[in-house]
Amino acid sequence: MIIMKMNEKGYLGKLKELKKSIYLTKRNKIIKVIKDISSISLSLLFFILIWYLIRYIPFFSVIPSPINVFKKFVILWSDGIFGVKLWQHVIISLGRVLLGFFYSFIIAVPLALLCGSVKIINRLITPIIDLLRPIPPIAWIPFAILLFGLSTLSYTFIIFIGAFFPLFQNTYDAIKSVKRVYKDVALSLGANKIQIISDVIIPSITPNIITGSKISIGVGWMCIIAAEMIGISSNTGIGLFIMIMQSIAQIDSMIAGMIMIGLVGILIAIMFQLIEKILFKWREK
Amino acid sequence: MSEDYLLKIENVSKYFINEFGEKIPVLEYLSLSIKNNEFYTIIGPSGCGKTTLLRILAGFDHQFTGNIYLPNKSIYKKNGKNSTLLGKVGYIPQEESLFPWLTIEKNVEFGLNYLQLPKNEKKKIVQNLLQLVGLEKYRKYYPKEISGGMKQKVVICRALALNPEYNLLLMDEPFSSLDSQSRNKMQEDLLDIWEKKKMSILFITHNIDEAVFLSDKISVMTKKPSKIKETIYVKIPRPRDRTSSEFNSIRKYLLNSLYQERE
Repeated sequence: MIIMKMNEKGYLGKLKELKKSIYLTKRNKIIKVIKDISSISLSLLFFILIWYLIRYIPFFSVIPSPINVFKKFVILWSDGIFGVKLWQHVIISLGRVLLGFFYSFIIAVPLALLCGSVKIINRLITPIIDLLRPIPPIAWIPFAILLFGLSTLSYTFIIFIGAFFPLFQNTYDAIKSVKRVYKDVALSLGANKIQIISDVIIPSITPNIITGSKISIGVGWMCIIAAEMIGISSNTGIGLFIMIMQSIAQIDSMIAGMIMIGLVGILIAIMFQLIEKILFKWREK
Repeated sequence: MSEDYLLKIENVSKYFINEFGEKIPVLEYLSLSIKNNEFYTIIGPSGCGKTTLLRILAGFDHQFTGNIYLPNKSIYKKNGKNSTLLGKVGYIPQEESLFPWLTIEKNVEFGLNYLQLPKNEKKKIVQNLLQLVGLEKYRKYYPKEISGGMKQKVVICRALALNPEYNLLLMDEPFSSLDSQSRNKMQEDLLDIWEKKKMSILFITHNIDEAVFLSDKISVMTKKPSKIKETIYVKIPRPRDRTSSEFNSIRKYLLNSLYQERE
């Protein structure tokens, strides 16, 4: 019966169906966006509600109301401490992260490439990395201060440590999992060893390098805030901002700072999603 | 000395060493030769070392004993880099081997980038080849966007683009991942390319039907340690009818021959 119906419709009928399906996919997309936005707003509302109510439990009564924090947030946008606005503190912290990440990138990725392609170097380096990896970046703070004093270099060093291992590991694992057949084919097509690295290995591991970078920047972001809180003295940074606000009992400013950290984290994640979407169209889902 | 072969191997042996340190012979005194413009197929029980043999011929594997001869060239030495076949014969592996990060066009162009060729010449070669296999409109697609059969055609184009010096393609079960219908279609297309390009093909498969449909000459390999058990010539004119009695009698013969090589 179904076959009969299909035939009755004929060519024009099919065309109509096609148009309808295009229309439907467009409509579905719009519906999906609306659904996403409403579910996110609902979840945020839920969060704010809990925040509001939790303050009535005696233990949590010091928490300021979300409305106060929001007001403070707006004020802090154009005001701050030590003459530095909240967003400027964030930018400074981010800058430190990016600087440390940059050094980490230019060392970890080439080193992983070397370890992945030269056996002797691999045997020499891997045990060292296995030994150093478990040491948390924060545990390096005293060491960093010893080496670089109370300076930006110390921050850079801590971020470098935090960002190095995820970047190295992701790159190294990716090199090890490049299919042998790709290298064979490149060889048979006349590529030499260096061309195999540049034309086969590097393009096939780029997605993993980006994933490694995402994790590294995430770790770096956590490290910088801890480093700014714990000990490396300076007048700036979002970590320091939160610490100082707590010590002068400006709890709503403190929480505004914490929310700022969360927002920056979301921004970084979105940025990476975009990069991946643009760069890796070729990847299988 | 007149050369009546394109590639000849004599007494090639190879062994692997397993985890207990024992020698496991894979190929033992294996000899064969392929002529110009010949479609030569090797069939054998699974795990008999067909892929190993092809990897030696393609020039990836130097750990073997025995000799490989090329016309007008002395012996193909084990360790001499100059005499390897790398880059001089086309190699089509069994696994999917298109570079997923490159478009179809760039995949075909891959080997050409290592030659000193002007840009428009490269483009022309790529275009001609894609036209030959009827895929020119997919040239901007990525491998994930085309079917398995199309992918294998692109792989063939990529090997042909270099115009392999010996005009020889080594194919290792290239259609084994395809369903039977596209497999049959690909066999016809491959014969078409083979005839147009006037080249030689050394084809490896475990599918008897495929071997009989395609080949001028079929060798049966023994189980491990492998050598050539027997070689038969298929003289049925092309296009071949898979249901004809001649076709079937050859198929039956090969089936029997292979059956005796079960492990």
